[in-house]
Amino acid sequence: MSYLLSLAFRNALRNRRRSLFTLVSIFMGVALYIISQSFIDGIEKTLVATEIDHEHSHLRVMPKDWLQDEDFRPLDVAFSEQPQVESLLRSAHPDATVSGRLTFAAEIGDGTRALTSRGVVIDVASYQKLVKLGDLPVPEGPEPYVWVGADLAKAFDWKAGDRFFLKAKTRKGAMNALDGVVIAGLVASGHPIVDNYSVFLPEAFGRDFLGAEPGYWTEVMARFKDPAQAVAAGEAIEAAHPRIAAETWREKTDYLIELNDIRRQHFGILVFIILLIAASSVANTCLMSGFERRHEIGTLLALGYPQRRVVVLFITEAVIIGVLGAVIGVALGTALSGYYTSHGLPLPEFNAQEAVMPMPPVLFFEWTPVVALKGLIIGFFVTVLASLYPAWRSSRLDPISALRTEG
Amino acid sequence: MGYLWKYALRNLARQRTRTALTVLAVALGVGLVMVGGTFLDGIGEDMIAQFARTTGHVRLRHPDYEKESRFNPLEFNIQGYRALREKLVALPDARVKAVLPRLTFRAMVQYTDESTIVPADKVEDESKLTDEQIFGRKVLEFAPGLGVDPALEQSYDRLDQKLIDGRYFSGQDVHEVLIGKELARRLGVKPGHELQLVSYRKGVSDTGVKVAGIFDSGNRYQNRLCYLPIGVAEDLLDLKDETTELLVFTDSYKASPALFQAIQKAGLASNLEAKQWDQIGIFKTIVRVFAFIMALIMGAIITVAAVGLLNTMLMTVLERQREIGLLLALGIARRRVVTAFMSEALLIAIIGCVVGLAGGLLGSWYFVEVGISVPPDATKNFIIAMPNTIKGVLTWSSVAWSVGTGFSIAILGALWPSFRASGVQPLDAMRRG
Repeated sequence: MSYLLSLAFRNALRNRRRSLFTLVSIFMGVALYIISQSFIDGIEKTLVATEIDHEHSHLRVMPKDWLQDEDFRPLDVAFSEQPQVESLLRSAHPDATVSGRLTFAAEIGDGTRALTSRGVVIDVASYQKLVKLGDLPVPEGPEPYVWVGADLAKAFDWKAGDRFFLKAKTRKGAMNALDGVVIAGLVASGHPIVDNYSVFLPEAFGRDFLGAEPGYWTEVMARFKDPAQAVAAGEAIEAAHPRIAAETWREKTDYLIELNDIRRQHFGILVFIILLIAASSVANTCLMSGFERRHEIGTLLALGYPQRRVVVLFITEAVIIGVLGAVIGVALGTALSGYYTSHGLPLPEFNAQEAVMPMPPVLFFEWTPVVALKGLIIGFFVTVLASLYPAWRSSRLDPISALRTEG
Repeated sequence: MGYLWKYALRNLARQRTRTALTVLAVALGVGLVMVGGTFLDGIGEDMIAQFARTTGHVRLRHPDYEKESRFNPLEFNIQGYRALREKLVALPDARVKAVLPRLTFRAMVQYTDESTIVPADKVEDESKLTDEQIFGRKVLEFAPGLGVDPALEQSYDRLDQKLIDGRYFSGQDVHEVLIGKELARRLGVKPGHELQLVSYRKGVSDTGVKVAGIFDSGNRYQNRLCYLPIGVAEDLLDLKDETTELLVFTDSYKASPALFQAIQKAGLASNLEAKQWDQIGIFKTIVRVFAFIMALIMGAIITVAAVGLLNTMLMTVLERQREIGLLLALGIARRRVVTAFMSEALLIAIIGCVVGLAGGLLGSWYFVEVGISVPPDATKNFIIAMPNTIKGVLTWSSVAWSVGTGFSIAILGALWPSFRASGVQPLDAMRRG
């Protein structure tokens, strides 16, 4: 067997340029496969991580009626199951972080300009364990204060220490407005809903401003040790309370994953066709080397070398080229994807109003050994499949006529 | 010249399997570019059609509006837009089909549900009544308002086709609104109900309107909008003949550069900001990203297929060294040898193009007829309403691009081997062969 291998090696090296050209097409296909997969996995991972870490945590529980009208952020939907939901979460998952929040439609402005944004009333200590909002400094003095999303503040040219007016509908449905609210700090998380639309209020001020009774939250949120626990926890809550919806991080990011699956399909078709072209190149090379060496093969066959062996010889030769191509492809793909996995690809800046997906400013690719291995296997199989027919054809040579013609 | 072609053809027929494989590579490249082009053009057409309805082919605004646009300001309006509209429609050099005024503003919508009021004859103790039982249940929501020209909006935004309940505006300046289904559900209103529209430009002002219809645009943001006739909106906001933007439409979005030129030439936008649809918002980015991806894919395909062809041609040249040497010894010009090999490559390209176009047509036909469906859930969060089936559009440019790909592959792959062939030394070649 090792004799066969060395023969195949020698044959592959005989015509180096030809082997090199064949290799190029395989390596391009494999490299493209790895880069495209890492790119899409990177999109998915970055977006999902941003969603979990800065906005949604692992589980969000709220009344179904509220969820349906979420864009209006109503405060008039009853959430009487809230204490039970919280205690259910705490007892089933003692090591999970559970917190509530109260979101409302907040109009903020500087006197001449105004915007409708999202107000979020939080219990600072527990909410910060749930999602990362960075440092939330507390100013001195008696005035009410809030933390404003960095991009939202930028739209108004506000900085920490500035004052603005806040207007919102209260829990009872009346309008309340307050001027001179202090911006205690800015929140820059990379999640557009947070950075671009949100104002965070400490619990005491928020409840007072909205006339919300203690214990009333619009949503209950939880972060688990293991993200997978969110599914079971959500199911338990929905089973116990039919009016309540539990939205896991997975459901929240489903649309991203669906979109990415479409992207994956498209890239898959492309890579497939490129590999098909590469396969035709491999088959051609194999065919040619068989034709060139018909004299040699004829001699082997005439000396009683089994046909099966000739097939294996040709396939081995093609596989050497194919595997080498795949290895180079994996190396190149890994180098490129690896670079973007650690350094990230800066994305073009989107206009604030256009960014509806949690798109971070830098996209990190997600290279995994599994993808690299898959690339290697794909390269291997493409070459084997492509060389089958030419190898079989070369082995069916008639030794006598092959030897008669001049080599 | 004819004999060179014959020679090329015979050479191709000599090694049928090899020729078939090479043709396959070229054909795959050609077919893929064609199907890809059809698909991308389809996305483009669909998106442009949707997009241009919100931007017009050329959009006019006050030059300072853009940077404050997030606040929906009412300080940077187009003054006297009605006269400007007449001038635009009468533009001599461009066929202006329509000029749509749009007045965007921030408003609050209030609905009073009177079903909770206790009738006077049933009241036993007036002091025990709640506010809801006396005045009705009031629901108040922030809602973006959009003043439009009802007749024009019907033909350009096709708003009437999105109605799921009720009817379109009954006239030009009627006190009626069309509201998105999200807003309607939140307020709990149906067509025929009365709403209070509240605005707070220079103090609070309000007006009563009747819900004519409820629409579903397939997009969460748009389903919270409140459309009303622009005259009513101007009255509410105390604006006289002012709008935030004018959308100018001509025959097709392709004619927008000409329209833009005509507007500039006539000096109609001298103190305004005029933008063509493709200069607005996210579209520029999308077009750039698509073009980049397309270029990348084309590059990869051409490279892989060209390298395959290069390999085959090099083989052919090596195999036929003796023959070439003989031809050269007989006095054929080196130029002719190059031509012979290039003809061979061109023949492969031509056959490859024919096969590839046939396959490409089949693939494109699938996209044009059936299309790819995108789950509605995946797009409902987009700011631009997206169609749920993306259908391809087969254009001559895709065909041209794919044929161009086929010939680029042939020329790139065959150039070097052909010149190598012409560099053969006759004596060497014949001695060695």
